Amino acid sequence: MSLSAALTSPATTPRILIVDDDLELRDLISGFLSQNGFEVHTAAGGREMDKVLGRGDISLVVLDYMMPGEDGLSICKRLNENSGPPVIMLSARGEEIDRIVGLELGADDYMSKPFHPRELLARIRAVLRRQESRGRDGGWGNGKTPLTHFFGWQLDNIKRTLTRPDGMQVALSNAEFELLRVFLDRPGRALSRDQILDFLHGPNTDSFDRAIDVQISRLRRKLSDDHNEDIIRTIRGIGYMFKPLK
Amino acid sequence: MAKSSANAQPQLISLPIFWQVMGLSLIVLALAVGINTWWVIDAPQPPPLGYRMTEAVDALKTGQAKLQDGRWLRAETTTEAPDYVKNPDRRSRQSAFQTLVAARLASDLGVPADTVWINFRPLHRNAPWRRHEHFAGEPSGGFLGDRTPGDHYAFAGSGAGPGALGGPASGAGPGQPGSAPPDAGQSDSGDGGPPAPPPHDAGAERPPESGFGREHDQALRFMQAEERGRTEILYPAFSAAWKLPNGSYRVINPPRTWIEPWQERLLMGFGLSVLLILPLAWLLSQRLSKPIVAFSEAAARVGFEDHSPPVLAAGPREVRAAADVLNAMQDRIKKQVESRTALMGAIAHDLKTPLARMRLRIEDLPEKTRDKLAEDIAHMDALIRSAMSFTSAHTLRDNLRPLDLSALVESLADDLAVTCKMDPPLIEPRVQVAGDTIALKRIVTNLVENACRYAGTCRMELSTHGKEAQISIVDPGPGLPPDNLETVFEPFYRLESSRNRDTGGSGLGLSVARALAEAQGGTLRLVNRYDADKIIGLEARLTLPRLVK
Repeated sequence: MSLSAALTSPATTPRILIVDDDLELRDLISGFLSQNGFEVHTAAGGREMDKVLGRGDISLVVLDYMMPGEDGLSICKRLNENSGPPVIMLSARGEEIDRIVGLELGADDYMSKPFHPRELLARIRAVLRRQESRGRDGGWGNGKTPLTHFFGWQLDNIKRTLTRPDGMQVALSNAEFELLRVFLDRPGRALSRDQILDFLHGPNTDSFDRAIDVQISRLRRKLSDDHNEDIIRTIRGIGYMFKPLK
Repeated sequence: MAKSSANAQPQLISLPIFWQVMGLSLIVLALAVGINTWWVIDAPQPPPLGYRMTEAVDALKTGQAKLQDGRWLRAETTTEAPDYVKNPDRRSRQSAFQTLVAARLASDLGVPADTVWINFRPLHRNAPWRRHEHFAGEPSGGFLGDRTPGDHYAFAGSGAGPGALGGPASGAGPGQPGSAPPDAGQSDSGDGGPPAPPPHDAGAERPPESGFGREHDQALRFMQAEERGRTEILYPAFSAAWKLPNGSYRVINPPRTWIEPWQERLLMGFGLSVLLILPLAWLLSQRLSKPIVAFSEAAARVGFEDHSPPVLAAGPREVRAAADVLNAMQDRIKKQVESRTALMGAIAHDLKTPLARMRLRIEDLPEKTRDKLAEDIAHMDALIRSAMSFTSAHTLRDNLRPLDLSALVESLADDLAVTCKMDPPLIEPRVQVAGDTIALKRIVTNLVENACRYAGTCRMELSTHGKEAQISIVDPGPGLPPDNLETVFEPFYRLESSRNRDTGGSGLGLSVARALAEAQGGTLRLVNRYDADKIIGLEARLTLPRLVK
């Protein structure tokens, strides 16, 4: 059950546990993941899952949301409380609300059925990678919370929505969200436009400098607040700096 | 005391409407009857009608005289003789009495008897002549409605009778006056004394002319004797004409008013009842209608898919029963909606698992076939998703949060510009609503996608109108036939008859958008944009109640 043991052990083939009440789907996922280099175990429900988890070397659980008996959410919550392996939730209910609830209860990612098999593969790899890089300087995957707090503000990383200190929600465009994430991950560091572009789009992009200025001014406007001085400051001759977090 | 009455009120108001109306009617009836009964019984003696001889004389001489009942008797002078002077009705049974009174009047006036005429008017058309005379001093007033004309005539006749039998025309026997008073007294004192001779036959068949002079004289004498001993006689109202030496007539007529004094009294009784009953009836009726009004207002708030409070079961029993029925109905509808949502969820779940299996199964197929099948699966998935959001839209209502609509529209304009060519948005800053970010994004995304699909481009606008915020998606496209502006919101309605996936989505897009808008207390509608009579585009208007601090 020890997560760190599972991670620190030189596991060349990560072990995935699939928990789904549908036998055929279980077998299909299992077959697909096995083809792609994983060792796969399956369980039809919560109790069976506990038995397999007892082995202590499961790296990730793919969990169905809606199951007879103990449902996916409560299993997920249980795993999270016991610092169990990361969870990717599968749901037949594509509702956004379920997605958020699932993530808030501690799922690391979420996919709605029917899903693209290769996307599942990509997400499993991404979650495992995040697990490995845990503790290092990283993105919002650092920790399981999908919420980031700063100066009384709150950023919902799923909905891509800011909540002002007074509780008002402020929507962000995708570009603004990415930009804010770049700043939030590097508080108190002066960033040049080129650096910001690199963080946003990777190196060697031909994005326009001016576009960044527009995005930043918009983001500043949304972050403007009567009490706080500018959260994003302009550093003359260099670029921008996000106010250091306390 | 106040407490007990406060407790008694709801009990009273909770009686069935039947008993409340019944009680109200009975109270009103009892009050009306009671008030009028008291009013009539309590009424003072009405002043006697009619007038004394002296009053008639005063009126004829001076032009007017005040009567006992407060009215004025007025005299007029005419050149034309009244009807009863021209055509004296000598056959009438009253003629003898008339003659008698005329003689008395003439003597009081001090003029010859043949210059004065008298006419008694009947009180109303169908009533027989009624004897009205009585002595003013008598408390009863002698309103002798039960007397027949015969009785009256008997009085006149009995006075005249002995004279007619015993004396010559001119002779007024000295003994006659002596015999007359007892007769008259008998007749006037009441019903007790039988009229001496059989009155009817004698009076009716004797030619009136035959004993005219004698009757006249004797009656006159009797009257004069009366006057000496008793208070003045009150005569029933009569008309009189006095021929003046110059040939014109001086005429008095009984004062006629629209409402007689005694009628006045009765009408006042009615008025009093109305005044007393009206506020009471108004008060009680209002109390009766109040719970019904409250009920209808509560019933109007009953929404099928929202969590409106149950209608309060209060008031009369019938209203409480109706409220219970309504609440039960609302409950059933709510349950039905819930079970519909649950059913949709179950169907979706059971469809999506096989779809997920299919998606995994096709991985091994050749790429071309696999991609086509993947597309089909994606389409089915989208359809199921829309259907689910449509049925579960109402659950949104519980999750509304304050949000900055301006920021939302701006970010959407930004994001959607990648997939759809759009003009720069016109956004009013700092517009705030209570809503759901994801739902609002879905609505606007759907509207913008529609506009881009049919018009190629569009512009987003955010404005406020009073208490409402309005997001408009304005496009320069072909618009819609006016008949279709509403029908496009029906589930699975398509403008094109084909369910072609290339031109349309699931057919649920607008239905879902409207359901989501309504779940946030908003509205969504489409209007054509006109330039004169020509349609120059379509505008989708999403309104939401503003959040005002």
